[in-house]
Amino acid sequence: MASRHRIPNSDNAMARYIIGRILSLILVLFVVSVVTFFLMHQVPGGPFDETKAPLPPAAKENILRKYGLDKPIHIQYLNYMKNAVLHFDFGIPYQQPTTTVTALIAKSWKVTAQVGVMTVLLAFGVGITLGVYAAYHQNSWIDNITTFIAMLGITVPSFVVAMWLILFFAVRLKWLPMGGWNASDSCLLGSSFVCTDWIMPVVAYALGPLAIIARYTRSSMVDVMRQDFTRTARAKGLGNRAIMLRHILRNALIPMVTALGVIIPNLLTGSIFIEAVFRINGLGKFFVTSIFNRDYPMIMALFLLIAFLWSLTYLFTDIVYTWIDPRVRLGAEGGA
Amino acid sequence: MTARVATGLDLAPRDGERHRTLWQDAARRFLRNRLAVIGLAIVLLFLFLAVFADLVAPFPYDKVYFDRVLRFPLELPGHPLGTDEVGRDYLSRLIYGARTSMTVGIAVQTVAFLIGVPLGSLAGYVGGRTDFIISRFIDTMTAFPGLMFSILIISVWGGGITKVIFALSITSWIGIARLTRGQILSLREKEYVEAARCTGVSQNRIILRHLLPNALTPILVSISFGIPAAIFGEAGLSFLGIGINDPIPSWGKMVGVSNAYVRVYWHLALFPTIAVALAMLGFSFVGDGLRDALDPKMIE
Repeated sequence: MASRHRIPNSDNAMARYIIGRILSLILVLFVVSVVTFFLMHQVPGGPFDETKAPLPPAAKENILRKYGLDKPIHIQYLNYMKNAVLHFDFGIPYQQPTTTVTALIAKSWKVTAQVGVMTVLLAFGVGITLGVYAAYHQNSWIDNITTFIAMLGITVPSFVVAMWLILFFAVRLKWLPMGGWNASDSCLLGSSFVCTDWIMPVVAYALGPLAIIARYTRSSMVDVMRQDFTRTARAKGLGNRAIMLRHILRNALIPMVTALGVIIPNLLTGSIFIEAVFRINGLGKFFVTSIFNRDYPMIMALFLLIAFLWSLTYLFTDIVYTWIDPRVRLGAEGGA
Repeated sequence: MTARVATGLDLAPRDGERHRTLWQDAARRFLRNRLAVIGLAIVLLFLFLAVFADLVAPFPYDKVYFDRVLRFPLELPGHPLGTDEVGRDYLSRLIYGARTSMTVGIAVQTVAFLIGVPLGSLAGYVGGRTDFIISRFIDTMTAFPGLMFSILIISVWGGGITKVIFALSITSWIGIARLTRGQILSLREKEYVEAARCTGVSQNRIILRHLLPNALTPILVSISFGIPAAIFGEAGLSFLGIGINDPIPSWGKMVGVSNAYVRVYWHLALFPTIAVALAMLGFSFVGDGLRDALDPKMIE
């Protein structure tokens, strides 16, 4: 933490860097929102499909006016953004006109967040443990297994792993439920305390990030183990465990922040696939049904939300990285 | 041939000493890597299936047999992997699925190369305001949720192989552009480039003959990792039901459809998932192998 003071003027540079990044985040969100908005309004066949039940012109005009669709498109955009930013109001979803987009998202984000948090915990817990063991026992069977899992997790898509889990544990062995989330018949000790239908989605979802984390941990552990201070610690007679935890692991975890920058954005989109395979009613499932229903306000809101979280994690990991590792030069041109 | 003199690459081999080029060296290292060779074999197999699907597949991909719906593997003679939910031969659809995957993977990376390399070289070589604008553009695009955006575009413009390629290409060039820029940036200060500049070689020629060939190896590695990423993108879109349209087979779509039948008809889920996984693993092994083979720092 105190490392920041090693660079002269680093506070100043840091402030400039952060402000620059926030400005570019705003630019990104602006571009994303404009592009999405105009794309959405290009969709052939609007939300009011008239092939089955043609509307009288007066009724159609009323509906268009109600949703503000009769105004020119840039006015529609400005209205939309004004409401979204100031009142957190993303309009009314076409699929459920009795509620609001915000209410629908509020209802379903919890499930997605639950899946996400459990996934992150599993990925980091198991990933770091495997990475540490693999680095410490290089070329042992546990190292080989870690390498194998890492390879599988990084290359094989989550929905493929998910299907394999279903085929084996649900279809073949019939140990676990095929899908769902917090379904009462799969939960022990009362509702949603511990549920067996959590296992497969979280494992399938976590395998990718787990693989990245295990690989990162292993390679940076191996790097740190070769450093002089590790030899010094060993020479002064410290125990293996102390060296491992206090000297090696602590330094090896620094590059993990970059791993986070890769993992969290992918988690945000990965949820779509996991929720589709396991029929979980979260944001990802909503995104897909909204696309099939051509529900512009819902798609728009979900996409903006994800874009916002996505760029926020990029910003966050970059800032944390420059902050914990003073060797990263700030404000360097290119900013790569 | 001033360029060749300036690069100093055509040093004549001394008498009696066998001279190996960079590529021959790389090929030797690549072939000594067991995983890379396995990966290459898988990739070549899928490429073969993709090109010769018409000859290899026992049935056309869209031939429907209404009397043979949802048959298990080996249940009927002639359908070793069974049939799907409308009675099409599953093996044939898997083979044609290779064609879809390979087409998308290679096409997307071709577009990525054609956009990323010129843009990256321009930013890296010209520098100044051009670099600033291109770099900010790259930064902005990096913070763009790529796959989500592809889903969005497909949902607006509809599916189909060309649109899938287009949707995936939009964000595919960013990594290559960034990489090329970095490479050019470091290479342009090298002595041989300075020498070329002094002898009056034109800017385009410096970029094309001196900088790009030397920047090529990391770009090549990046492309070999980009192909499985594009294959994953296509499979993902089709899995959600918005990528490749029927009746063109796609592994991702086959997995997505199988989700509704998996309780009984396990074969519908098993074979396409194995195909996707094998393709991704194959290309990744080749990518790893290429990286190790082309990186001179790896030589022990």
